[in-house]
Amino acid sequence: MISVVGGVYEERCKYPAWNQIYGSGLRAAIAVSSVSDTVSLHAYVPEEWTKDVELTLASFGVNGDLHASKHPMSFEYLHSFVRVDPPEQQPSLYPALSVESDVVLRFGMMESDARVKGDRVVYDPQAPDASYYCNGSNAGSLAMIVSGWELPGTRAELLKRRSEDRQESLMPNEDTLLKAIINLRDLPHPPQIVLVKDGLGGLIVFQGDQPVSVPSYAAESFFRIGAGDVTAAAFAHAWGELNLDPVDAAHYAARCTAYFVEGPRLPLPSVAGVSDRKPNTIRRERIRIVGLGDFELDALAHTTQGWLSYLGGDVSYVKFGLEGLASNGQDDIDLLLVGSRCSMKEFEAAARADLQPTVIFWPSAEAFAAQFYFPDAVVASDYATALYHVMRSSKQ
Amino acid sequence: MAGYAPDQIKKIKGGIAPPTIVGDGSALAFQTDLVGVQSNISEGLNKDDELTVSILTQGKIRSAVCETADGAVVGTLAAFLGLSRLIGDLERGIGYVAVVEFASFSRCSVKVFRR
Repeated sequence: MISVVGGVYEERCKYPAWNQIYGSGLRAAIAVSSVSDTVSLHAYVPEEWTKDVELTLASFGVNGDLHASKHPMSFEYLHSFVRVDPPEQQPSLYPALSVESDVVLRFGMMESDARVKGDRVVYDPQAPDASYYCNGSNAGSLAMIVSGWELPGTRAELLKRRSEDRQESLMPNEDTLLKAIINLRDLPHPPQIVLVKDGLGGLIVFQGDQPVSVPSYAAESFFRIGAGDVTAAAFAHAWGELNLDPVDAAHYAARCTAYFVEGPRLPLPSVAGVSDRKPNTIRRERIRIVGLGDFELDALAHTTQGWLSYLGGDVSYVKFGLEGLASNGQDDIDLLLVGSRCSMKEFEAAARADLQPTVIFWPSAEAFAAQFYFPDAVVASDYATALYHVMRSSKQ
Repeated sequence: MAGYAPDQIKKIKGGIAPPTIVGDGSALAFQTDLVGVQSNISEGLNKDDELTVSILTQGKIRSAVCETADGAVVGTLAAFLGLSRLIGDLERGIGYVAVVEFASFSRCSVKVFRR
């Protein structure tokens, strides 16, 4: 049995089109409904959504401990890397939820807090510098799952980087990360396990003295919204309910994340159901980008450079248009960005220039034609999927 | 990460339209992704294929599902605003169809409207 406590929010995305009710709590509860014998969701739900959420839970056999709220919250995305304005903060927090169970998955929430007691607890604070115990929560064993900059003590370094106008990055550097882990261990009640998400579905597991890297696993496409929720849910099931070793549980969580991002796909398969999934190798080679299209593509090419650096990639050049590329003929490039209004004639010119792109991003109904001209390339009409494939090693 | 996007693109509102009441005011129309997609069924679907929306009961679990003409379940309609209205309509005998907008082995997006 597993109890999940977390938010239920509306999620809207423009590219790809997406308009659903999830939030971390509801997503995680549905995720483990297929692999856990009993799942309960403890959450605040806006009154006008209650029936829809109850019927959603009933569709997957999940028990609901739902508390009425008056503030629907919506997360808006342009695409799954860019969240637009966050939901409006409500004037005051609702009373903390109280949850007691053998295995608990606790998410940070925008509208409230949760006081948790459990034998094995997984805590995903979803905010920097959060403390599990400060509200009276208790755990026999605690695993924290965070992104790098959520670790206590990393905030100062992040603000320093921003003040110096340095490139944003998903992960702190190794020194900052290790210092943060040491600080966490020096707390009066440290978590027994810390998992740091790498943003592409992989994890670093800190348990003993040596961190263990768990790779991301291969997925054909990359739907990023809620991927971290699924990682936490899968780990909570495997470590909390199945008593797997933390590293083995993290491998299962990473495999489940790959399974999820291909859709998004819920609920999750069993340990055996994802055991044949192959690990990714994260790209270490420098990345070359070419943009093909109008002014907007030029801007996108440079924005893409920023996103790939954010994901840990090293971009060696960004070029716009075919001029200069056609002359040497054999320029291997990693990402060809094609404008949605780019004509087939322009695209054919790119093929004649003998480019050998690894990945093509073309948000057009004609994207299927790209495969004809570039049979060895991954063709994606989804931006996050294109970036994901660029970040995978070219040596696979 | 929310603060990373340039200001000029932060104001864009995203997402497909929420469920709307259409026709004589008594029926829903909406687009949604199915949950629990059956890969082997979904990968055989094409855009504009028509699916039947029905209620499936398996033990204690009762859900609204999309089925092919052969009766194969493609996936579950869940996690969207309007689900209770849809199930209520189905229980009253109001028929709905789902037209495939996009389908692959891992994802099935449908437009649902009154038959």
